[in-house]
Amino acid sequence: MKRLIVLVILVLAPMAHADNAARQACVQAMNADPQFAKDIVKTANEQADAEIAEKHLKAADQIATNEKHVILAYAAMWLAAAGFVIFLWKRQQGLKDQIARLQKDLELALKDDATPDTPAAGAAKAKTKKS
Amino acid sequence: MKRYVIPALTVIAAVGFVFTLWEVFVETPVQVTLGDRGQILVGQSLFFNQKIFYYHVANAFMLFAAVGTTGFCSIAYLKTRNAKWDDVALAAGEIAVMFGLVVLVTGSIWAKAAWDLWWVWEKRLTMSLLLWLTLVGYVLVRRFAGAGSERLAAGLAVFGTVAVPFIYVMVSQGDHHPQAGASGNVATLSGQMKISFWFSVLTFLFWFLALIISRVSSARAERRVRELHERAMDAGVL
Repeated sequence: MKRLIVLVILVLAPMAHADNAARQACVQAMNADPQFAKDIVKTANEQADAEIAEKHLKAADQIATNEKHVILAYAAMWLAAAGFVIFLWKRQQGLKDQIARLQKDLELALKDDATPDTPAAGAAKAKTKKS
Repeated sequence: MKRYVIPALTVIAAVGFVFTLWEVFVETPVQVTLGDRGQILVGQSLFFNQKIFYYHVANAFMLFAAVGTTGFCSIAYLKTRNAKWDDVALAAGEIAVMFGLVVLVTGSIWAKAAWDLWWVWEKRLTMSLLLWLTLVGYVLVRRFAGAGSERLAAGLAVFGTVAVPFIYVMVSQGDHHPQAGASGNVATLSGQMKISFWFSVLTFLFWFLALIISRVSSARAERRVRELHERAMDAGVL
């Protein structure tokens, strides 16, 4: 592993040095010739402008034809509506259950009242009332 | 007759939704169109995300209608103490929470698409959020505050209703949010956009009516069951 690292350093060092040397030569040339420096800056700016313009055009195109957010908004709307309908339906079901329970309790209570008052019936009646 | 009202309204709303989808996505243009009033260009710089407008604003109108109903019925309940008003107020309050949620969520998604921002703390947006939180508070008070909470909740509903006109006019030229009022986006819509928008509003109105009638009948049934239960307990039957 160590050997590999040393090898990589040995290969990359001259390359970095060469890059540095080219940069220095370029700086010297630009300092020596103002017109050359201007041309370099102009070319760099044109390239940067083209990149920025491309990015803007891409962004504008994306905004203009953005379907993702429209679909998201519609999905959110229907989800909320469906959630509310389910909530209403569940509440209605709960109400039906409650009515059925009340009816059952009422029938049971009326039946208890109709039975003769034996000790066993009295105990069952008390139990029903307690529950 | 009464039992057919809710299914009929729901069917009309469902057909309306399908037709609105067709109108909005197929018939209505997004490109620049010349306005009716002079040389004003209406619809300039409109992108595909503008399609959210037809549902977002229609839902906002229904939110205002629901909040108005809650406020009006709450005032009537506080004045007359007639439970029928309270049932309608509760139903409209719950529906307002649903419409409010849709308005906030679709608005936020539209903001992300148009401004690259999920939320901005502007006057109208902040007031809309506060209104929604007030409505949530109303529903929570009704559900968990126990006996006598109706009057407290009615006061809260009236407070929420006061916010509606502020929200509608509370947009200045410098805000991100589109303008409202006489020179606003809705008033200056033209051609097919206008037709699609008002058709969408009409559809949501039917949907709102179906929901509110359904919820009111449910609230009345709940009240009746509660009263019968109490009477049965008092009489010692249960």
